[in-house]
Order: sequence, then C-alpha cells, then structure tokens
Amino acid sequence: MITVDTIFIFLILVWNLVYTSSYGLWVWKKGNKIGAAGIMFLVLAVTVLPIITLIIRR
Amino acid sequence: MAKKTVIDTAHSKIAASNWGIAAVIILLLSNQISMNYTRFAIESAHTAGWLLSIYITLLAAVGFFLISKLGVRFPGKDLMDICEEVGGRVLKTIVGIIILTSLLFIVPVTLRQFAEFMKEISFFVSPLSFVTVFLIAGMVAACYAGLEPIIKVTSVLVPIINIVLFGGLVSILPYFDINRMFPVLGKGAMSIFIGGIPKISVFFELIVLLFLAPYIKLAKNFRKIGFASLSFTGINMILVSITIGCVADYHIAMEEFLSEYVMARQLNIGRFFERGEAVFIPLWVFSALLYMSILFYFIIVIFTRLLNLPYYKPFIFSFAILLLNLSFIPGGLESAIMLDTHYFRNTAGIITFLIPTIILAIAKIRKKGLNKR
Repeated sequence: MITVDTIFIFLILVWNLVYTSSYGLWVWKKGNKIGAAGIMFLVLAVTVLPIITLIIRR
Repeated sequence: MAKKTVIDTAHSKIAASNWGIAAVIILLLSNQISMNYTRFAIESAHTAGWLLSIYITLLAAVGFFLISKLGVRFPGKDLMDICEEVGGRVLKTIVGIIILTSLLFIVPVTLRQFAEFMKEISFFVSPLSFVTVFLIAGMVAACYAGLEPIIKVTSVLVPIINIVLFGGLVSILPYFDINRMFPVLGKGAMSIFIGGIPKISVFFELIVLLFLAPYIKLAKNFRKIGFASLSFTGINMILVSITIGCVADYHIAMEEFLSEYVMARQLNIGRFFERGEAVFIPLWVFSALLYMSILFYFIIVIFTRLLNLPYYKPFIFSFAILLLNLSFIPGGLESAIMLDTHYFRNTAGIITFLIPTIILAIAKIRKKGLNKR
C-alpha cells in the first residue's frame, strides 16, 4: 500500500536524483568525465539503496 | 598553540587555530570513550583495561611519531596530495577509496549505535528512523556551515566536556575499591601486549589529522597537535578505565553499553546533587553529533578530492541519504556494536598508521634515490 511517508520519501529521492545528476552533467560538460561517472554512480546508489531498504522493511 | 593560520587550499579557505585542530582530533578520538571503549578494553584485558589503554596509547604515539617524522618533507600537503606525488593518480585513488570506504563503514555504524542509545535513554516510544533523521539533519547543517564553524564549536565544547568528565570521575571516588584492579595483568600479558596490538585501531580517527595538515602552518605544530591530542585522549582513556574498573567488577562492566552514562547515574552527593546524567546527556549528544559531522564532512571532501570536483556542497544531501540507509543495515544495537568493536576496532589501525607510514617511507626512499643520482 502506498502511504504518505512513501510518497514523501519518493519525492525526496526524485529531487535528489535531479539535483545531483544535473551537477554530474555540468561536470561532464567541463571535461571531467571520471568525475561525472563517479557522481552518476553515487546518484544510482543513493536512489536504489532506499528503495531496496523500503522493500526489505516491508 | 594560539597562533592563527589562514591557508588557501584547493577547496576552501579557513582560519583555524592550532588549538581548534587539536580540539577536533581530541573530540574524534575521545568519542570512543563515551561509546564502547571501556567495555571494549575490559573485554580485551579484564582487570587490566587501564594497562591496555597505556599500551595502545604508547603504540599510537610511536606510529604517529613515524608518520610525523617521515611527513616533514611534505609541509602543507594532506595525505591525498602526498599519495599523488608518490604514486600518481592511481595511488591517490586506491588510498582515497580505502579511506572513504572505512569512513562510510564507521559513520553509519556509529550513527546506528548512537540512535539506538538515544532511543534507549530518552526516546523510548519514537521510531528509530525519527531519531536517525534528527541526527542526520544536524550533520547536514554542520556540513553546510563548513569546516571553520565546526572547528570553532569544537574548540569551545572540548574543554567543557572534559571538565564534566573529570568532575564525574572525581565525584565517583567514594565508590572506589582498589582491589578490583587485581590481578594487575588481567587476562594475561599475551592478551595485552600481543592481542593489544590491533586495538591501536581505537585511534583510527587520527587519520583526519593527515587531512587537516594543510591548515597547520608549521611541521612542528603538526607534531605538537598530534602528540597533544594523543596524550590527552590516552590519559582520558586510562582514567576512565581505572574508574570503571575500580567501581564495578569487570564481568559486570563488560555487560554495560554506556559506561560513562551508567557512571553519571551513580552520582549522588549528599542530598543536593544527584542524577548527574542530566548534565552528561546534552553534552554527550552534542559531542557525538560533532563527531559524526566532522567525519561526514571528510567523507564528502575525500569524495570530491578523489574525482577532482570543485565543490563539496552538492553532495551533502546525497551522502546524507546514503548514510541514513547504510545505518539501517546492521540488524540491531548488538550487531552494530559487534561491527564496531570486533571488526573495525581490530583492523582500522592499518589504514591510520600502516598505509601512511609505507607511503611516506616510499617517498623518502625515492627522494634519496633522486638525490644520489
């Protein structure tokens, strides 16, 4: 069942995904491709881990 | 140690006194005392917890002496800069990842333990996630403020914490039974002197000093700060180990999670002073929050240094979410303590003492070779 706190967590994750990946894109455009890849890896971990935690806790 | 230095680093310009930096290191190293240290020392050496404390402090001092002696050739450079100079980007990346991983291990584990302790002491009904989010919010705010305010707050807080701690130790003197210190060698000489070597990992947080090196103007001040912090923390550890060892039987002390808190609850002087934990808890919360904030800040800084990124603030929120989730991985308080004391505090010394010593020794040998040519 989708609850208010799940929606709230989801919104935070989406906001963080957009915010951090936009920074990653900016770094990519500046020519630091390793830096951009590192940021994208972080974004992936930060987005996937809470979802896994939520699923496990249910 | 009062002279102010303003050093421009790659990422930030901060004004920090030598005392401020020493206070940060003292706070980081002392955090263990209020969490698990006494239990850890008594478990490892029984009645000789105080002797183990002396031994590991001396070992850490020798380790730090080697690092400071070899590091003299790199004034104004932190560990990552030295790694880059010695082994290029590859060595910098390897060492950076090792340190980042270790910090990403210990901060969530400490966060979990602290949240569980808080829940046990004050927030009986609140869910664990609420307590954890509350702590994370403090860490995020501290990180947004930056290193300079963190150092300033720490330099004010450290003397207060230590005065309260010392007052607590003195006021518990009537409960002392010196016979509890016997047998002097506790679990045995082998357990203390051979088994005690990995326990040097209690001083893992000294690694932060290697990242604060650019903010210290003179190499001799770096050495002074390191030794002052180590000896101050070592004395605290010894005093607390002796006190807890003399107040409670070692097998009872082994069962206590928060020895200092338990000690504070024992305080009862006449009819006018009791329940010392009322003073202890706010200070303890503040110091633990600062401990986690400082390490959290360095997690982000090391990440940005690894990837050559110009700003650290865009990652504060991402790492906060990451730490929050990682802190929920341990099954409970017991497993978080187990991860901390049994695994981390028996291995992390390699990262703090062995790796920097090897890197600096290689740098020295290389420089000698170049000079000969």
